[in-house]
Amino acid sequence: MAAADDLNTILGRLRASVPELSAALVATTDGLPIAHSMNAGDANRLAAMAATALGLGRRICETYGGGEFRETSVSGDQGQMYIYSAGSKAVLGVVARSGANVGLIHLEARDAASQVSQILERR
Amino acid sequence: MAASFTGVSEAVFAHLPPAARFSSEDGAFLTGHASALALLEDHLTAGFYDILFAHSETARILSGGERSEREMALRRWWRRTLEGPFDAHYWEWQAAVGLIHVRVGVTNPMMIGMWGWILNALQGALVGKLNLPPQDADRMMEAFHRLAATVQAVIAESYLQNYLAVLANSTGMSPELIHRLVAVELAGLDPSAQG
Ligand code: HEM
Repeated sequence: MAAADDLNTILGRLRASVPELSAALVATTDGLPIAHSMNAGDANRLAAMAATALGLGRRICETYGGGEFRETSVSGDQGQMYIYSAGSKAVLGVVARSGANVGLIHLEARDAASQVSQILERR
Repeated sequence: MAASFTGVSEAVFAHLPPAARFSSEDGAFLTGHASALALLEDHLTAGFYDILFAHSETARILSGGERSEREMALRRWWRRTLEGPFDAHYWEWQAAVGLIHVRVGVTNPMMIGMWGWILNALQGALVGKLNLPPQDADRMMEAFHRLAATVQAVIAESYLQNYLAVLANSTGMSPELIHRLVAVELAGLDPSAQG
């Protein structure tokens, strides 16, 4: 329970630092949502998609010799989703409207992903 | 990376109701009549491959090498089946066939369709060629029907599990994630399917 509270705090801080985010979630690598903060949408589906992107991203990295997977993104004309590895067991996904400050998103989300990783590896 | 043959065959046995599954009594009955049943090898093999070579979808799969070489797959299977024993090794071999079939392009409809043909051919031959008393022929067909159900279940389940294992490995998705994607997607199609 304490871990879930910690994860919710991290997601809350992340969304407060980057107001253009419309969703942020942490999921297991098997696609189960562990914590989420979303304006709208289906957390189950978004978590499964984030885990899918993570799995594929890791496999692509392995295939081209890119080392350990860190992050990937998917852009549409109305918005983007950024997906970050959060340790061996989890993934962090954030959704932003188009025009959001990508530099700020990466800065804050990478930091959040590493905190998520520390919390989950401790368990 | 293949699915575990032991895992697949054990899971299929757990799913098959005992009354529907090939039993040790069935096995003893078949192996007890092995020398008579062995006489049907040429008849079954000729009919089986005549059908497969006459159909373009299956003929394409068998196009490499001589027909006599292709026939060896069924001959070996028939001989080993009559010989017994129906142990873990036998069922793991059937699970391996599921993977071989994925690799060579044999679909489950092809496999299941030919099982139907084998059962009909056996029914005709037990009385027509082997002159078995009707009571023995009935008992024998009962055993063959349960063998058919069990082997088909193992081959078809192994086909699916190996397909998923390869997909999981090549895309980096765990089998659990694939199951989740299926559940989430189906729940989106039909609210009553959520679970
Ligand atoms: C009653 C249904 C079937 C059974 C019980 C069966 C059984 C088997 C077995 C036991 C093997 C492996 C042989 C070995 O270990 O050496 C095998 C391989 C193979 N099977 Fe099937 N099979 C069935 C249906 C089919 C059908 C419908 C096709 C259609 C073309 C097919 C084509 C093949 C091919 C191409 C191989 C690879 C081995 C080779 O040809 O040399 N099978 N099958």
